[in-house]
Amino acid sequence: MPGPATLLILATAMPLLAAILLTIVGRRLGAPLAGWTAAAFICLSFAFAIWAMVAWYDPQGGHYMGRNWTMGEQPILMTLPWLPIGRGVQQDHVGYLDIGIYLDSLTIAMFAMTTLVAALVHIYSTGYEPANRGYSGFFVCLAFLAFAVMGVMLSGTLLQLLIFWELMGLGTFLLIAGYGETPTSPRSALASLITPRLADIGLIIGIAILTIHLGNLSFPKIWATLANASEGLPVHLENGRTLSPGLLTLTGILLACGALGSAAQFPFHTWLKNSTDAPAPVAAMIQTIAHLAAGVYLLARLFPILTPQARLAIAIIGLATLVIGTLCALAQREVHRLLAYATLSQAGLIVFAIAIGGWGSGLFHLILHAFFKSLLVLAAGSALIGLRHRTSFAQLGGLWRKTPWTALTFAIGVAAAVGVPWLSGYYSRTSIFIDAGATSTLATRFLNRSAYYWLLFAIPIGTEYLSAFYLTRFWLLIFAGKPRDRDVYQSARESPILWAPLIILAGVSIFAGSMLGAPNLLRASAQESSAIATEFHQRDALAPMGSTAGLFQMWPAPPPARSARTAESAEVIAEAPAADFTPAAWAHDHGEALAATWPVKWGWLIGMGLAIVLFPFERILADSIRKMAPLRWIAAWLERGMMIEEFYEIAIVRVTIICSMLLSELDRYFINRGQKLVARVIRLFAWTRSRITF
Amino acid sequence: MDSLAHHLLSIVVFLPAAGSLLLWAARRPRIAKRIAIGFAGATLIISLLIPLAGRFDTTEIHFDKTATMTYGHRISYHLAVDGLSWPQTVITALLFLLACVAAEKEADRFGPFFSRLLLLQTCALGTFLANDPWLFFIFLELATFLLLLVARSGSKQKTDRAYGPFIHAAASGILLVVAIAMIDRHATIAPSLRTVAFVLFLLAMLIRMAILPFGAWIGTVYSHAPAPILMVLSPVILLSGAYGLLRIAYPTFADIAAYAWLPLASLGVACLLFNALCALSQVDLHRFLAHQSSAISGVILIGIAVMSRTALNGTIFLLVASALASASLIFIADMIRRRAGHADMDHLGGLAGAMPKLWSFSVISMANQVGLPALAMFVGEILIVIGIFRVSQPQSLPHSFAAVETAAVFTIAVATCVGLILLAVSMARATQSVFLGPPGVLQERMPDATPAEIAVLAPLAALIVALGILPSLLIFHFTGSTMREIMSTYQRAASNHAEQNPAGSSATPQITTAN
Repeated sequence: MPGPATLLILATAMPLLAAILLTIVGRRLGAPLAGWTAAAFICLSFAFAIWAMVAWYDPQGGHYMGRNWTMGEQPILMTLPWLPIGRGVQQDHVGYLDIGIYLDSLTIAMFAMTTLVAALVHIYSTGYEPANRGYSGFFVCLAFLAFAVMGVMLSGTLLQLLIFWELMGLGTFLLIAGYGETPTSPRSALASLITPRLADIGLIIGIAILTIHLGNLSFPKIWATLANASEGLPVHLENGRTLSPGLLTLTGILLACGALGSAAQFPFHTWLKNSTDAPAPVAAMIQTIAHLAAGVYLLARLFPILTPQARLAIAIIGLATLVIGTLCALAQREVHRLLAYATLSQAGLIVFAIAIGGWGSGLFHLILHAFFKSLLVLAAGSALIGLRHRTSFAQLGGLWRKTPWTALTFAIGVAAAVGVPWLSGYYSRTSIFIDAGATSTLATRFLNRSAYYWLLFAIPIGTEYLSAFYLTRFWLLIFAGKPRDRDVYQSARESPILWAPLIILAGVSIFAGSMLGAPNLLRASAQESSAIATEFHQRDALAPMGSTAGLFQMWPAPPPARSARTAESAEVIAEAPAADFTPAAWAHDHGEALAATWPVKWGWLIGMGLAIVLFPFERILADSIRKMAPLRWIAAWLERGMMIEEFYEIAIVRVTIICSMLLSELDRYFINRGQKLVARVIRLFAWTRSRITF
Repeated sequence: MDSLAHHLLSIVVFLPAAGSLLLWAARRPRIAKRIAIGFAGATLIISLLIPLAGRFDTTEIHFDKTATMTYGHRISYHLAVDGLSWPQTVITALLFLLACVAAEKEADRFGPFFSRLLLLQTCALGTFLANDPWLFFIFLELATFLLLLVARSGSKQKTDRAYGPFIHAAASGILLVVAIAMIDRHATIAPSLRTVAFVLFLLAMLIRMAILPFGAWIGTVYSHAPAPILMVLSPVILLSGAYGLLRIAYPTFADIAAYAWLPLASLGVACLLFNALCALSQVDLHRFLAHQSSAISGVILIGIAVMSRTALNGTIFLLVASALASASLIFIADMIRRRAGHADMDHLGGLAGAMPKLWSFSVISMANQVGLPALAMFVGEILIVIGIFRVSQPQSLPHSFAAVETAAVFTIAVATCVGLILLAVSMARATQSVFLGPPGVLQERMPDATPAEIAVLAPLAALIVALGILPSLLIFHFTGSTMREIMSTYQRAASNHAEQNPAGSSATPQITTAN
């Protein structure tokens, strides 16, 4: 039986094969067949991913390329020399920068998620994409995007990750530019190409800095070498150089910058809204398994080398994105934009959760989010497919009679997203809130930080109410009530090829939280990462490192003696039995207690209830908001995404265009004129005037 | 066998000239193309065999070390090849072969076109294989003027601007004569004159590379010359400029060059940014490509200037990759111009739907030009960006400059990345306006790529992908030891300089290299 590494490589190769095959014979296959071919390949990919998961669960483990692996103990790492960068320190292959694969439980979980969603999106697309313009080309790009995402997930070194990362950008650009449905799609395609690329500058510079200091960028290697960074300590390298905490923080933030750009976090978040100009399947890929998942995945892999300061900065960025996404989603009046801002808020929550040390809960939420958000985006596409881009809420309403299956699955998606108990989102949200509570407790009670650290707990809770409110209202506006526009209502329709994948996704969205064992895999992944980091550390006899425990917590565990500074924590410590007391465990218990209080537990119900109660008065409320001056301004400001894009438009895009035009005028007139002038002068002095013929 | 290997390089250089003579004697257009393809193909095959011959350990083939120029007071005919020149030789031979395949109408319009093309090839190959500075100069100038003449002969334009390229080439040539005359006795001249020689040589080469203030000529050539000539323009003029710096100026004046790294890298960044921004607002496809070429030259200059082994590897790779990239882009642009009758980006669009075969190849070429990973240019660019951080700088600077140096390194690296992204933006915009969007009436009827055109596009695309995926196997495997030798040449030059100026230890430049 082939091992999981072989199977995942096969799973990654399938979409690439599909893309190559369709490039060659796609036109001859024609409209439905080309799409089904691609879908078949991706389904094979899913089969391989599941097979790999089964193989990975083997308690005996196995061998791959001369290394043993066991789930929960030893991951798979294989590196190959690729780029000659000269002799450096700590290289596996002397003189070379490596590419390779790194495979642990997280990879297995991500592959299962990615391939499942990708397969369903491909099946859905066979019915969604109109057959006339470049039908097979669409599937070439879609399969290529899936291939790039899987390549990112399988990457063992930062360099290889960067390679697939950029390929992913190409896939997205071609899909939005070539198949966008709105007149603004060319601009949107450029925006969604460029904005993440700007963030990638950070990633590339970070990779360059790490390369010159470490010489090798495989994940276990950087975790082992930079382990001290997670405790905010300087790192001593083999060759006697020392990396200061400041440099480590800078490098960490630069590297994370790439991840944040792809995961559409605050300064770079504007492209996500633009990407909704793509057809629904593409938007579903981008918002769940492609850019968002890849960005979060990179952040998760980088987390062990981030210093506490960098983690705090990223947590704040996540919070900012969460707040922006939630507030703007409240004011949206168009389906796709609302979905984009909803994704933004969820992405912010995930990044925030990972950065505060809720590594497992953040990734858990990412996986569940992939299911329910792709369900929502695809269902929206299915509901609106006959409407010819009349997607404003003012024209929708009452569609559940025409599209019952879509309405039902959409409702399940909403319920899963807002955290209705025992649906998927409930589990991950609760565990994020526990981690947020624990972090705030730890910061304020044991680390002597200010009371503002409670915002790390309060803000996510606050947004929970709002997201429950706007998502419920979203469903009501599309499907409930009376049709607002007769014509739109008449042209609404749904087809089985579109809602069949939705039903599968709805089923997964219901059960994924409790039954698919994702938390186990994530816990195992953290153990594997710590284990291989420790192993590398011992093998290379690096300078002593504190402990790998700090790798997956926001702050290294504070010793009780040092933390007993405030009267309150002294009290806590005095109460606790001294033997097994650790501040982290106590804080976790406290976080659990906080998450079980009613404002946290029943937030979804309050938000949903409010939306349902207010829905009959929707029009009256909307009118009154439109009349009251300050509210109207705020609503308009939020609807435009807080004008951040407009600001970029003026501050960056316009400036670049003006510079470009000025410089080309300069080029045309002065430099070319200069050339002419010299020619004229030469001719003036030439004996055979104007006799120069070449 | 030994004697054959001994003359292998001469065969490579003069085989095209023999073909040229033959074609000049028998001028029948049908056969002419086939003969030219035959000679160019044979040259390519023989140039590919050079590394095999390297095992015979003749005097000219130095894959184990660098071929240092033989300096003397008179011109000697001496050819040599090493890891630095071999990739350039092969890529030149390949591009000339493809230019022969690509030439269609030019053959009728320009009389003995293939004869001139093959003669040009001899000069171009000679430039890369010459092992004597004067021989290098002769081949270089012959190639340049021959190319400009052939490029000019098709054009109807007789304005002053059309003389621009010749003026640039002449200026470059004059500077080069003086510089080489000084370099020839570089060991004996005064230190201040060494600086002058370096600056003159540098200027000559910067003009050839179309670096910022001297970049106007390339736009003129691009807008009028026939496509096969433009395909070989990059190896003949742009690459030979970078090659001259790496082969002659830097090993000889490494001590001076180490001081000049910051101004030169800044110039490279300025060139990159300027051309990337200009490319953003171009509407003519050919002018757009001219700015793209110029911008990549800026990146190459950065790679040369920082003098680190990583950047050196990146530069040597980027030279090859950019030649392939610009050749394929030029050919694609010419295909479009011939079909649409113009090359105005604003009036094109939707070609992806009308010409799916061309679109498949164009995606690879354009993605390569924007530095997409797994394609050739990315390898060079990422190595140069990493290499910036390993810059070899003179240690004699006061310690307080350390922070400034660090900031400068950082700024240059970030600015390079910004420039490359701007370049990518302009390419993405061009892709959109030419290939995507709704097709116009005219575009609907445009025929797709013919088999003859695919014969040009496919090898380029295949090579771009292959180089991007297997860079070590195809390039670095051959260049590695030569690069190490060049780095030690840099260090030796610095230490020689230190011996000559023993007074004042603070003024002693020492080059720190992180391998």
